[in-house]
Amino acid sequence: MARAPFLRFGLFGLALGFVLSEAGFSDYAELHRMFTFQDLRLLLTFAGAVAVAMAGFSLLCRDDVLPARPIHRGTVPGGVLFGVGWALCGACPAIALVQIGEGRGAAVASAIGIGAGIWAAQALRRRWRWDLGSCG
Amino acid sequence: MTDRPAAAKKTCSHLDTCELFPKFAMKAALKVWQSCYCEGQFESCARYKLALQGRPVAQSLLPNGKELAPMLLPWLGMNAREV
Amino acid sequence: MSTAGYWPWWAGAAALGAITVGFWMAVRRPLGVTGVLARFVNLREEIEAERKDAALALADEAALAAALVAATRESFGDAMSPSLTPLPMPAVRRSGARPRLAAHALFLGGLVAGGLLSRLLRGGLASGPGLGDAYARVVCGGWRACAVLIAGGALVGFGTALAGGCSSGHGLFGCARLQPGSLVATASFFGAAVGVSLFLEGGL
Repeated sequence: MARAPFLRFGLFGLALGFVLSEAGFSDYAELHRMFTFQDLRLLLTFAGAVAVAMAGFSLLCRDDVLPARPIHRGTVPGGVLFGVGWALCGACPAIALVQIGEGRGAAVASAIGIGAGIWAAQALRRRWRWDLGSCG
Repeated sequence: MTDRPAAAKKTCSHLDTCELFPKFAMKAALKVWQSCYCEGQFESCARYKLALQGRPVAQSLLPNGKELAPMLLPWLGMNAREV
Repeated sequence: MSTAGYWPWWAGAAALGAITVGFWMAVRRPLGVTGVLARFVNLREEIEAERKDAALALADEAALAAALVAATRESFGDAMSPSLTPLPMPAVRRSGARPRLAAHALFLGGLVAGGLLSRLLRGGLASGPGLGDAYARVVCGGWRACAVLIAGGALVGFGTALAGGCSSGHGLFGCARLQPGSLVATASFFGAAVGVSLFLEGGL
């Protein structure tokens, strides 16, 4: 990009963070209720979001070539480890940041852990290379 | 979504996101890069190799590992120190 | 609405879906947070790559094409097509160039600000520094929680980087496009989170 649309990135980050917080994704109690199927609200939110996005892409982005996400050797192990960690710390990378914004100091610990985990994975990929499907 | 015509042999899996690939369409003379790397020996493409390691790939990195930025100098009127 | 006043499911669904599609339409990048965070973990190399691209940003199409042709001549010699006319490229919208680090920093900052904004509109920051009573009950409380949070976070960071995406990258964007990797990753992380949560609850 010749000129990076800084404002757009900031606004979309703000919108995403706001909605995640308003929907309750940053509340461990709510997340736990979703993962134990005691309350389907967040689950429906997530599934509904995928459905809305699916419709939006089909209607508005028909001719676009979107980055592919093929199955690769890190897909399942990575997914499983992520899920375990999510249940233990109540955060995915986005939510950890939202929680920090909400004033939950505990999220700083989660965020530090996330940073360390990413660093370790990057070190791993230097040695054991595999194709994630894109170079972006 | 549009489909690319099915290739007889494998092409680089990063074609959809590679920042350099669409630039090869700017002139027919650049097709040789595509034939040689993207649609040919993509495993030896410097960009592909970096991507496999998860490292950031500069836009200006050519498949053979050379940097494009220094070649821009005559057209930008900059001296080497500024690049 | 849930007891804490969170949005009903259809409102959150509409908003998140709109953000997922809107983000692509606005900046032509797939929505995702892990990849963005990863850039800052690998900051030195990212800055190096951005420095190399600074010169490219100054060039217009003509200069770029000329430089590429010169590079082609240098690499392949003169045994190439003499034609300098453009090749036909299908008129599709592809993903754009990797955004500037500053833009991505604003994105991450926006996420934090979004949480803050939500709280301010509801009358104040979250009560207490922890994750609430539910967390203390289900996982652990006190200072031990700190270690669990760091460990859990490490699994999140490691896992998302390994899988190539998180709940927004794979969960929202990838699944909406029915990408196989995203569907499998989402099923994996969801299944694992459910399993661990049920175990912690005492059900397993």
